[in-house]
Amino acid sequence: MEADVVIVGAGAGGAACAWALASHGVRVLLLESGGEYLPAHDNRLHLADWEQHPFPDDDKHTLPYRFGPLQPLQLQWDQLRSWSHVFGRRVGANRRAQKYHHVRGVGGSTLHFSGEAHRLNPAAMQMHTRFAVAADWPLTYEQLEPFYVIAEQLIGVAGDSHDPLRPRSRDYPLPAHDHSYASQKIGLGCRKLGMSWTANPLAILSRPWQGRPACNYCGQCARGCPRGDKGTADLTFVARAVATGNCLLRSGCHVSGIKPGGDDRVEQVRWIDVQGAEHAVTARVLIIACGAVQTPRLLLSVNDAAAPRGLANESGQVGRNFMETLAWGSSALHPEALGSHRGVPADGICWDFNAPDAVPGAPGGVRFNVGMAEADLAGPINYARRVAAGWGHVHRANMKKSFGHVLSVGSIGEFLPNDGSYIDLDPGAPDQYGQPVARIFSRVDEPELRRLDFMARKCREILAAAGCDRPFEEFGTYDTFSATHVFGSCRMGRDARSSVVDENCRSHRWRNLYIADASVFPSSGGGESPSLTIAALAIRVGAHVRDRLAAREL
Amino acid sequence: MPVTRRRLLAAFGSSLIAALAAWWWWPRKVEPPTVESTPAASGNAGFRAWIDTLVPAEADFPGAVALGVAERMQELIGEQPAYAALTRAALEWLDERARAQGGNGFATLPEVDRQSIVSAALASAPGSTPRTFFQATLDDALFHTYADESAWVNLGYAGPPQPIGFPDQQRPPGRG
Repeated sequence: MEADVVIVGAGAGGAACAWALASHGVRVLLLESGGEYLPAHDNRLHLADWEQHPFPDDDKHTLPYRFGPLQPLQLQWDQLRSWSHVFGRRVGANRRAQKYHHVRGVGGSTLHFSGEAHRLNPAAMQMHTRFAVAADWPLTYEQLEPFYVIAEQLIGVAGDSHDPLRPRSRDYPLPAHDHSYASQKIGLGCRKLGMSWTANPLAILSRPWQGRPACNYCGQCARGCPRGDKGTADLTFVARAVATGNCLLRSGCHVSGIKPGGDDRVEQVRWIDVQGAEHAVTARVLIIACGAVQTPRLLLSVNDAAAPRGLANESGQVGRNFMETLAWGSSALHPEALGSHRGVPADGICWDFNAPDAVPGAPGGVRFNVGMAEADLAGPINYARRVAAGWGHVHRANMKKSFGHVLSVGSIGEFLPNDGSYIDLDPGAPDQYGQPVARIFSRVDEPELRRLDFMARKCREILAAAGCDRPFEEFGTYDTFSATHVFGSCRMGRDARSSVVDENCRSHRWRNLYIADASVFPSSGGGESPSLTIAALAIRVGAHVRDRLAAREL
Repeated sequence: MPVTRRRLLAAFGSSLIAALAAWWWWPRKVEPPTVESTPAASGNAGFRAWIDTLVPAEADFPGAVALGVAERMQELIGEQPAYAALTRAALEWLDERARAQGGNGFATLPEVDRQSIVSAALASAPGSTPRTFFQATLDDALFHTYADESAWVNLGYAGPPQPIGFPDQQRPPGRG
């Protein structure tokens, strides 16, 4: 197939961009390193042992990465150590590297996400102007808004269209989900504290939509959706792109090199297919969408005289400004049997502290949400191991008394870039393709710790106001790197000296090279999940590329 | 199953907080002394009795042993030299305690006496063989026991999650 555009990565960004191009007649080659998600093979939610099987997490479903050394923990923040009534307090002198949560496969990390479909708070897009931190987005919310609308319609987002923080030109395509009974209890707690509690916009169908069924509230989105009611990128953007006949999807194809050419254009993309055969294609346009860890790895691994510091790294900013997930979760028992294992993972949310000036003492917002499924406290095994105390007959009695009683409140907050958080190439052993492995450096600074402390205190307050006992376990990212949302390692900006791509996500130097993933985010937002913004940005990139192609400028 | 990073991670979902939960007690792992053999056949009765004491049967609950959990755990322990060594040492400790109480091995004791030895294991110093064995085997026994639907009776759990889901999610449980 002759392709006008080669896209690397079929996650939220690459998939949406592929659709934006293919649906307008542009021929796309979509290369994905991983395979396709097959519920009949990969999903066990209908079996009794379902809790023993998380989303596939083997080498086929993830890409390798390593960590640089992490910072020592400080006595003054000891209250932020994770702990559990069963296992005690998290020990260790240093912050521990746990995991960069991602999925290598068609659909990317949307395959295991909880379905949150958030627009950014416009106020969070000007962090440098307002607070002299991070960087401003070089485009406005108003410029992005039409693309949010397109993404919401294609995914099938269910939500409450009344949102004073995020103006919208069109209602959500589907009504919001009803709050689960447990979520209603958390909402009561919030209201007692004078806080709001609203429907969380979700890429989970509240009604049948375009051939897909409505959700049946099993709550296990993180283990993969076997029904297809969750708006994963494979079922939405990729399926539609391929159906146009203009998009050729090649899964199991790992990009092994990018060759810069003359005239500041990328010339060739090479990849290795699942049988190990090598291929190459001349790229009229190349769009990279591998996420904030693998995109900089791919760019930095280009070793060419025309790009001696790596591709698109003229500013030295590729890999810098990496932002991770700042998260906290508290769980406690409610006196009433709530059946709290039921419902979508995060149907309720509080945005009251989402604005960047809402948290005392630190710029950057946060949000609070239902967290039982996110904490994996929604089945008998985890209740047995983590909730019910004791052993023997006492443990069984506690199982009966506690099952369905857990309430969890989670919180995610802004993470500001710092010079200790970045991605580079690990000097150790290469991956199975002979390429360097990404290395993650992370440092959590004082503003994040103050914000995290606020998040922890507020989670406890909400649980107490909801009528719960004291928490029985709490986990946070102070003592552990564990990131689902990662951003910022190929920053978007107007100044070529301090950013990697421009406001259209095009390399400042390489005229046919674009990036369409969260690595371009100049700031993380105040706890919003990024997938909808990634999709909206990627659709915008697609619109820009097809306009430039039509004008024969590419 | 062994107390390993992979094991713990696999036991939890892929969500962020869940994975944190899985990770955080990993550093509590205590490396037992290296012993080459797996639990001897003579230890099987003791191991079964231990698991039966940790997760015993009740009128509405089959208990771990009836669900084949002890055998499954022994198979998996046998694949992990460190865990096998811990188990061997712990079973010897149990039998010594049993003899000190006038029995002829842990498996021969009545339940109330086995319970007192379990309590002693739990009260042992952190990192000691009996304490580590207690933590690891209780967690593993629960991991396997509650993967069987017969263990869900009278919990108020109408799973597994699919294919029915929980369409009554917005109402109090049990009200349809």
